[in-house]
Amino acid sequence: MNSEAILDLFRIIILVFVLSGCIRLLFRRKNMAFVVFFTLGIACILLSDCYWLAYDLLRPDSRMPFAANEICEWAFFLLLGSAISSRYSKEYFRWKKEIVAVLLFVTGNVALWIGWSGEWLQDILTGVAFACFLCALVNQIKQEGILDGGWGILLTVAGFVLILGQAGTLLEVIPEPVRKILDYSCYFLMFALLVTFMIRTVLSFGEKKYSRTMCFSFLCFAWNVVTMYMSGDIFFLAAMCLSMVSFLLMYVALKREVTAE
Amino acid sequence: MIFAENILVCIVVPFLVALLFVKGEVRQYLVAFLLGMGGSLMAAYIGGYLGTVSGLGQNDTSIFLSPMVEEIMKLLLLVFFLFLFEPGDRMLVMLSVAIGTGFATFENCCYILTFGADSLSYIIIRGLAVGVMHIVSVLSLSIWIICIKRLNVFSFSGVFGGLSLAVIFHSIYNLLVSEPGVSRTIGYILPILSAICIYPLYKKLMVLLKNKK
Repeated sequence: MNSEAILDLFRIIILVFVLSGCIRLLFRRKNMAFVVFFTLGIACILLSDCYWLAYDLLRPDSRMPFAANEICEWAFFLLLGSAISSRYSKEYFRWKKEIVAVLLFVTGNVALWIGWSGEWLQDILTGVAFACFLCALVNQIKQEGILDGGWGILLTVAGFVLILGQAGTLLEVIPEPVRKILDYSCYFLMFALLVTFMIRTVLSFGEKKYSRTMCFSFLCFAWNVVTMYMSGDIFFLAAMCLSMVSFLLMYVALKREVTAE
Repeated sequence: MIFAENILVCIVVPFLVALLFVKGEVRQYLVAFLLGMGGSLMAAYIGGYLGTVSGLGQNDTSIFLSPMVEEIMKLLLLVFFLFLFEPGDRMLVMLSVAIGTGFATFENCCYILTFGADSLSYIIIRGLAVGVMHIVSVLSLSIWIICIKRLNVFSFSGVFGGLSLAVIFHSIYNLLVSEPGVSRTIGYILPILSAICIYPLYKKLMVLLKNKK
């Protein structure tokens, strides 16, 4: 069993815990649409992980072709997007600048994924599903007003710096030492922001506004996905570890809201 | 090599004649069963074509591509009934079971004709594994569709989510049984275990949704 498979196993255990908790929340019949979409999304990603683990154990030395786990990932993003959209009015056109920024960011990400993997179709479709989720999330963030002022600007700048930095690592005209520095700087930026969002989410647990906590936890998860997809080797494993925390944060935020009187 | 179309014709003709003598829900059930068998044949054609185009071998095609094609085919049949006949929730569940049963029946027929039916124990295992797997996957899809309809959140992403669950469940089964040993045993147990799990969940969910309404 390699380290990725072991981490995958841990993530499966966490997801089983989250899924069983979500199923219990279903019986409270509060925010039903949100909880149902979220629960199915967790079920999708759980089975996707099970598939990945089974593949890793049965065929350890072969590269997985286009398979069902990718469909589950797309479904997961779409379901999270639908879960968020079921709570808020769909005012995408009111936040034109933000939505354009999100679409540009996702397009940049997709270009990088294609650059790394060469899987055009899968990467574009993953990008479309992820963009749906991010658009719904940005809509929620704007309606809650949680990233007003400096935060919004910081996130936008960080996103685009990250894309340019990672694109630089693909350019062979740039000398190898400079590319390495760029690469590590990108990792620092990604993980620093991820930890910041996690701390912000934990701090928001002290507030009474449950929807804000939910917003932060989803934002944290979205950034975690970006980090995971942009990382390799040990950094990927670190991002995967943190994704377990992200799932737990989302679940706790959801539970607080549903169980609140 | 077997001539799958000929087998389909041979099985379908008595059912077509039987359709003249039955009415109502039984007729709808029979039609769904026959369409399930037709869907199985179509899925085999499409899967074979995609396997050739993608360059994957026969084994890899059945592990990676067939589950997607087969589940999409079953979903299309379910959507066909849903939009054309607008069945009630109970009938939709019945139709989904019929589609799954038809699908599994035709697949098993072709398998037996290709590989023989010498070992009764293996045939029983296959019947309980593949047969139940097709029923569980399409049944869970129909339950999910009923849920999102009742919650007024029937949308593309909702249906796609249900479809992806059915696809991954089918894929996990195919992947596990593709390798000999413990994984194959787990693969064979998986469908019947899922059927046992889904039954009480289905019962509870129906009560929950009924109360909500």
